[in-house]
Amino acid sequence: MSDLWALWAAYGFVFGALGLYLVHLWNETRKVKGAETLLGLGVKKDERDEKE
Amino acid sequence: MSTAKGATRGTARLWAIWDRARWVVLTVVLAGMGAHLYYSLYAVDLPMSGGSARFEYEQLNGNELVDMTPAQIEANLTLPTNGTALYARFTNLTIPTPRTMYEQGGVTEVPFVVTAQLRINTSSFVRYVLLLDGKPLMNGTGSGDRLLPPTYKPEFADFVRMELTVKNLGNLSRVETSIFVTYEDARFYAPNAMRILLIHAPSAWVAYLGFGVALGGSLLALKRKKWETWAVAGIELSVVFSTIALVTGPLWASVEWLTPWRWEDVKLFVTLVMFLSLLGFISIRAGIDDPEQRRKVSAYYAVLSFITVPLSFMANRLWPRDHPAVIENPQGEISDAILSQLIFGFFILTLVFALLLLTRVRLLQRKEEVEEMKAEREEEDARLVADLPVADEDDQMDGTKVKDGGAG
Repeated sequence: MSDLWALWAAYGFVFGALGLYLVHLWNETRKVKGAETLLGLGVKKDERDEKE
Repeated sequence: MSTAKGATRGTARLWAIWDRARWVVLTVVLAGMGAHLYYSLYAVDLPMSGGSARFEYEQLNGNELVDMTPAQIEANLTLPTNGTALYARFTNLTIPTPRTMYEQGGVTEVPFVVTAQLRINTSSFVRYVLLLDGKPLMNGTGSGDRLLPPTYKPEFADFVRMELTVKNLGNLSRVETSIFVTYEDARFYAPNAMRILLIHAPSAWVAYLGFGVALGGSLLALKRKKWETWAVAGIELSVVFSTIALVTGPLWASVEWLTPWRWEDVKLFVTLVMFLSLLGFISIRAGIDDPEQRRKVSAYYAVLSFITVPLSFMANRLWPRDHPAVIENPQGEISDAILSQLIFGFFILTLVFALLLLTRVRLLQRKEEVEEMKAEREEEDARLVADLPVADEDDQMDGTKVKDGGAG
């Protein structure tokens, strides 16, 4: 039983590390999306027309 | 020319599809990884914990052969008549453990623990002899429970022969006895923590794969800039997964070896060097401002430092010490349950890696596009400003000269 802590710590770390990386990706996506919007990139023509 | 354009358009269309589907696909694949972790933790019955060993016993006087699968065997033996000797033989004690895991590390002798408890359910006196491979484990006369201290069998054996003879010495016509035998593979101090293997090994594989992608990306980036993003994304993911491998490994070692790290083990050392060289790639890129120079220097660095990957992979095969080698052993007897779960782990983590890689590459490409566009706009603005006619300090907006004593 005494070795179970290592098992849970390891799997906790795996989830934590992948979760953090996903948060990092999401944050980067948000930043890029924001910059794209500022530059008028990534917005489709019909969407742009609608906004106008 | 038209083919290249067509290919670019095709690639752009593929990326557009990916842009829409990426989060859904990622969620599905991560759910798959969750399933892998769930099965690794709960469903796979690891033989090293003694759970799936097979134990048959043969009751010779009744010609009865019972196939018993649980690890804990309780055989109820009945002595039918007064003075009858019962002779039961436990045979075919098979423990399908991956014995090669430790043989590679130089440990060939495998301790093996047997615990037996003889229970005599009446007050009648019996004479009993319990033999393990012909050697007496327990013998004597009496009634009530007889508990055998754990017996350590110093070498690995697929078959353990256990024989029990109980003779009724009392006056009662029936004596109910039972023998309760527990055994476990004692090669591992931490049998539960062995499940870490199911995520540790696939993570290490994906770390190698990430470095491999970075190598390919770097070689191509020396000629064409667009491949640089693949190298950067590959290294980044390799850092993530080698961190996982380098943390989960010592966690296992801290309960199995009772120390998280052994510097004398080449595998551990070289993998650490590989991890540091990954960090080196990132810091080199962060330290060079000129994009062209950054691309070239980091590409040459990645190609040179890739040597740590085959070294890390082969280290425990070339210089075996403590780190187990599970795969590529001709005598590997890894159990089907572990092997299938391990293969599933490799598959699902490769998939997770591929999807994270695509997401990261796409993101880096978009970031580059944005930066290029920004630079272009800045250039354009600068050009516009430069093209403006140089105005006199005294000029007004409408072009008229400011008169002395005027407004302002």
